[in-house]
Amino acid sequence: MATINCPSCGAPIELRSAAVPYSVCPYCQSVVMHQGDQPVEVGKAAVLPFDVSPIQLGTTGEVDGVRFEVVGRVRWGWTDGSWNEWLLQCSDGVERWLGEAMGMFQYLTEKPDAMMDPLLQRFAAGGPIAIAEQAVIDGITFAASDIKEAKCLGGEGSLPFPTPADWTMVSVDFKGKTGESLSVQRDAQGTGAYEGRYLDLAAMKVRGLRQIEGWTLPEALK
Amino acid sequence: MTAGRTVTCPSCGGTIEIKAAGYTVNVGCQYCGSVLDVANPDVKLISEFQMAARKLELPLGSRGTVQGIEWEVIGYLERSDDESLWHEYLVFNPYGGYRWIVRSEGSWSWGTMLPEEPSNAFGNAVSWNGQRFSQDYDDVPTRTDYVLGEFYWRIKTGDTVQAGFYEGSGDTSLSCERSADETSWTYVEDLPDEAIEQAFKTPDGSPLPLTGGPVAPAPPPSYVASGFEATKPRPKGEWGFIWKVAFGTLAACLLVMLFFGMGHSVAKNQIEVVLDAPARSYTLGTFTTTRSYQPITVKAQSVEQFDNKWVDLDYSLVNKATQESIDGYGVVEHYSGYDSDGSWSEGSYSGKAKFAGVPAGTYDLVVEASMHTWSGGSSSSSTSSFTNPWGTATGERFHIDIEASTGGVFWGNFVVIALLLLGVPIFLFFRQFKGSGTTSSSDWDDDD
Repeated sequence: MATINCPSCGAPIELRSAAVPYSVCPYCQSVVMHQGDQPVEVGKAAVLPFDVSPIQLGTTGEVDGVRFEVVGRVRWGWTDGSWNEWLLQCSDGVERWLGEAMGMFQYLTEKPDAMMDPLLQRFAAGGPIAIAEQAVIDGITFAASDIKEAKCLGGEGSLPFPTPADWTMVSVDFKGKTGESLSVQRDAQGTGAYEGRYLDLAAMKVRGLRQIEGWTLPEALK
Repeated sequence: MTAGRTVTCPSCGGTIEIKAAGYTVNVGCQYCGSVLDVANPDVKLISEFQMAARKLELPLGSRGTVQGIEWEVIGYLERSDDESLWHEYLVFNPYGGYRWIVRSEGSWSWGTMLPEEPSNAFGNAVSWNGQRFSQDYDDVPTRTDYVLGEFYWRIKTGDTVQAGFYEGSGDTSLSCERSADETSWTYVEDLPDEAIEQAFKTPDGSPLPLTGGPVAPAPPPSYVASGFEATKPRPKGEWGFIWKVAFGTLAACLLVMLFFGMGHSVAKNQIEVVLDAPARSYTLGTFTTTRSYQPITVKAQSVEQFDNKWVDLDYSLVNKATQESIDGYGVVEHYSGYDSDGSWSEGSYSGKAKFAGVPAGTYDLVVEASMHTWSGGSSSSSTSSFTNPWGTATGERFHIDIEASTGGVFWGNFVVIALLLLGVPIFLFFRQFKGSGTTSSSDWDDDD
């Protein structure tokens, strides 16, 4: 794994994904952009609050024959709680995230063509979405089921964007009639759509989980 | 576990360990029951209680292995609907997420929250995982009555959702809870007792304090007399004095109770109930009490006679100034039938509910009434439809006269006082003569 030195504190930063332009220094929380000739500090990320997530940077897994490695994380908070989004570097080159909330995992695949839907276009242009409004993607009807305004609580590892402390977004969850799900997120930079599906850790064949004090890893996940 | 985050309860100062740090949003303090918001770094007090925490059958921190994964009990809820109450334990494993253990009427079941909604199926049914689940009863309001431990969503006592129950095949079902914000589905499997009772161990290794779980709705709060204490044991030879004091005090208590118990009517009205229809609310009247603690008795009397039916009467005295409500429960019931011993009947066309200490204020008397057909003991009810001239069809209307009066003689308290006053002298009396080796019958004569 390539490393660079943090332009702020000099500590080594592992570049977990060459394709991803930003990394958070694990020592001083500086957000470092490393796409150009020289790494540049672009800001500071908040220190992640302690949590008992079983996922960590470096955790690997496999879904539908595509292998992945966890290379970064953003933590989002809203009025009634918080959740993690883990950036996956995938063997097929597609951008994916592992959403983690309430002890459940959602495997999210970027779905750029979903943004063609008129409702999502209106949302991307800054318009509102109400609960139960519908979007149709690939012939599947999705209804908005949950709308949250979230604020970035911090980040770690390699990320496709810097994670400034005042970074906020609107996140809308949609549900299909037979278990499909869709997540649409809008921030100051733009709007993205992700197709989701709930999977448990064993189904994703994860390895390299975080060891949490006081708990043993279940056999199926060792 | 020791790797967790700890917070200090702003109400009682107790140190609370957060087991599911990062997920947990609300904590019910295990020392004082206050509910705290821990979603943000600064802990906020949501509702303050100063009470001893309940003793749980599965104490917080207990661990057990179910379906191959070790779970720790981190949260506890007491919930109820109009007909029953039950307990729910939230269990957690960082690699397995959350599950529910439900304790109801002596049995255990295991709940797994569904990430997706089941799809609608033909009839009053849904389909999930290739299985059909059908709903036999309408959704009912379900209330959270008590909260302890930590939860991954905002929770508070008094939260009410609409809950629906969908029966599957075998010992499985789906439960659906709908609130204004969201709908959540849980897959529920019945578990044999030993799957929980042998699997779980308390944090200190002591046996689980199993009680069989909740069975019936709690009775209305009883009035406990204060100020009357058991008389202290006295030296031998003072029996005459002891008995005089005991009986004299008892007589004085009776006089005081009767004096304050005699009251006058403050609200009177008649309600109409429809058999087997949903419960309806009626406001019966408004009254004012000036005494600082006023006993109130509410008497219900059925106008018509009926058989194998009962009327549930949930009373509330709603303080008009504060909107606080004092709740009580009454029933009017009558059953009869025919069995191998001949015909039988039991119950009464009238019923009383007593409110012990109603603080001074102006109150609305509200009753939520519903009438039900008793379907238990099918053989006797089929007989009674021939023998019973008041056999009625569903939808029939009945009338109940309800009258609230100040006062109320609490005979249960009189018995308690009598036991307290007379129990110790009787005990000492027998102990004394047993010790002297003579027969008790002659001693009774001697002493009188």
